[in-house]
Amino acid sequence: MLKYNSKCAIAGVMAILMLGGILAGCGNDSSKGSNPANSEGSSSADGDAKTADVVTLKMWIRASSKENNQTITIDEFNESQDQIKVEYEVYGDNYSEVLKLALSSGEVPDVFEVAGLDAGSVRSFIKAGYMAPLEDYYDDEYAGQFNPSAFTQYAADGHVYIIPKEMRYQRLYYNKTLFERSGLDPDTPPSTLEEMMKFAKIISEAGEGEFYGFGLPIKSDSTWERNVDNIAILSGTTGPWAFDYSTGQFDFAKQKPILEYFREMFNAGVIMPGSESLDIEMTRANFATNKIGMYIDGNWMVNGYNNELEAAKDLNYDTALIPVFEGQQRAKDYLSLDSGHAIYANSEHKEEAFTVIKYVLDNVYEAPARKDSTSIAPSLSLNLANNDRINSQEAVQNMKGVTGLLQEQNQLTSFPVIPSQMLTLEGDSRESVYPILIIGNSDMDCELQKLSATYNKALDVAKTDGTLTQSDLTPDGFDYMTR
Amino acid sequence: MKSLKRSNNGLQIFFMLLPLLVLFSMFCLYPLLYSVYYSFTSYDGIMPATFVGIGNYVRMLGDTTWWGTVLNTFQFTVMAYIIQVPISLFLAVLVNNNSKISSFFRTIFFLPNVTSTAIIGIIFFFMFSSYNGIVNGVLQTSGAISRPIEWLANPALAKWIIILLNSWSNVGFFMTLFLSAIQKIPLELYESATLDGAGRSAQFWRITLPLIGNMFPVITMMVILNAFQLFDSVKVLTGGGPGSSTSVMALYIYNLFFNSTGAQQGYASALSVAATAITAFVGFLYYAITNRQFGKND
Repeated sequence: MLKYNSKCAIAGVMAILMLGGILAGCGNDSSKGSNPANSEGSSSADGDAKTADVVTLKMWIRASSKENNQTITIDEFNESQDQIKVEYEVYGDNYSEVLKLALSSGEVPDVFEVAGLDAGSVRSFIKAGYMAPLEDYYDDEYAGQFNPSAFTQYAADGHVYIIPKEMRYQRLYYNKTLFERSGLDPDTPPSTLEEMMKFAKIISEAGEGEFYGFGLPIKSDSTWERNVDNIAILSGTTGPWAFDYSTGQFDFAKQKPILEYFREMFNAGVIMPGSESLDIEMTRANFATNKIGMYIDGNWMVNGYNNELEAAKDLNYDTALIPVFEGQQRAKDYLSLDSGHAIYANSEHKEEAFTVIKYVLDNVYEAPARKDSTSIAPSLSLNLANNDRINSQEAVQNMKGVTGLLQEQNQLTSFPVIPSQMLTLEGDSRESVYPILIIGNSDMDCELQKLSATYNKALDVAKTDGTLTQSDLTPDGFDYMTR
Repeated sequence: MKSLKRSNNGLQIFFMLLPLLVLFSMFCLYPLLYSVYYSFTSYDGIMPATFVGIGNYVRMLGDTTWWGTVLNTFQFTVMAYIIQVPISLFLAVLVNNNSKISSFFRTIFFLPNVTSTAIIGIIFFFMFSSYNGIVNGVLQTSGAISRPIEWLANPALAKWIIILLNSWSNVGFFMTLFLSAIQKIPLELYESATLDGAGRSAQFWRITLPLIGNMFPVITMMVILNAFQLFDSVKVLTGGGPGSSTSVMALYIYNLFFNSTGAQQGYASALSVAATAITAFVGFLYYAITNRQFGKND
């Protein structure tokens, strides 16, 4: 039998050993991670003289699949030269949280994609000094190839921190098979909202409960930006989130006619039932399987339906411009710039990092076709020279769904500042109020007034603390028609 | 000598507990205290937090949506109690014998408890889907309704579906707890009661119910705490919608942390502290009441 002292000593030793194990597990291996110079050193220590000159860059990508346009492009980049080696990691839906945590702990790769983040968070990243300015690495000639919006969205204090790689805009997707089955001309999409309502009713009646005229995924927060904001912007009524750049205030009442339009659609039974619990993915699935006649979605879904969704292989569809009310003059279209790459401010290889970013910007849109010649995709690049070259190809011009996509591209303009994304709201957001307005019978005027009050109160705080300036809110000479 | 032995014994216990205490401190206590600290700040998760005093708590008092989610949480708790406790007790009595069919049903009733709530949520979502949902299908085929019911668009109906989902998922577990308590009751009591002419109903009210009394507060406390932590089923089934009409405390806090713009983390931390306080208060209140009722038997 062990004595108490011995037991105590053993317990103590065991406890210390376990603690040591735990703390070692939690500890940080400083030879890995954020300092690329260290990893470089370790590779040269192996005695491989050739790798000593190779700059190894870490890169984070946000994508829904392990192999995607970016990984294909970066693999090609790695093979195309022997000076820079990019080691990438692909992250899924939780990417924005991963990135926030990594930035606050300093465990950041040389190049990281900024995607799925609101503009306020990106501006905080810039303010916190996490990103390196990019303008030293490109010249005016290169910048001239891009849509000018590319250099405004992620700029601050005269510096550009991200060049977005993707132009995102919305189009009306319509199912040609359901148009035919409903007696409508499959080559004539609705050109006004009144016509869209009429077509939706015709399709729903023809569907007799099997298919419906319109899809509105109320469960997805982005629905209101896709549908209501787009129509408001195209009508020259408000900017995104009902912000009126001519007055510098939120005015949700100005979106009332559009909300009433969708409420009428809902009450008429032409929106696919269950829309309150449908998200955008489910809506796409229903569109792909001929259950929904029309819905509004992003330009990237043409590639999605043509090349990625197995369920859509027999889908006969096309895209068209989003309609506005009859007699309404069309204003400039809503371009949003979602994702791009930033260089970590502490990276020791910023120039090499920009070389990688530039390669991705220039080559990412032909990646599917290079991998598989049947995977033709339209270019969504902000590099207009690239777009023209890719989109003028006969194969792209003839692909399914491309009609609306290629129309009026010169009308696409972004809003440099979207104030709603910079606010700390104290009250209900429009994402929680709009669904009730569409599917319920609440007093629309009262609710919209409350929303305006909530947003304008937060706006005042943002103006006071310097988050937003007057020039952000009321840009000089702003006009929805010509901006 | 005796005191030295006692002190050695204490030291030994301390060392044995030390790894657990360190882990607990690192992964529970430290984040908890940090949440309390953040609750007094304005924080966006990126820029340094700035002290705002009790500003977040003052904001909470006027946040009608938050109090709506608190009310919803209480509603779900009360309904969980009313539905889950009697049903699980009834099922426990029903399967309390050694026949093969009872074993089969015990397994069947317990099965939902080992199934992921997310999966159950998705199954219920499809069952109650307005378009092609099996419930609407059955009702339409039987002629009970002509148009599909928008189950999840109606806040009252959506709440009932959440209650149904959670009850279906949990009663099997509580049934097992009741069953273990019932099986501790000496069989002789039932034999004597049978000889004295007592029927099943009398046996239940006079023997089973009084003798499982001590299990009641345990199960009820678990039902209450489960309901207060309600999150995943609501997230999967309705996402708190339409609007925030079916949202609960945990989901509201989650959305502030992860799905909102601006500096909301400080406020979300304040709500987390408040939610913990509310849950603890209800738990202690229940404990105080039941301790007076059931503590006498100890």
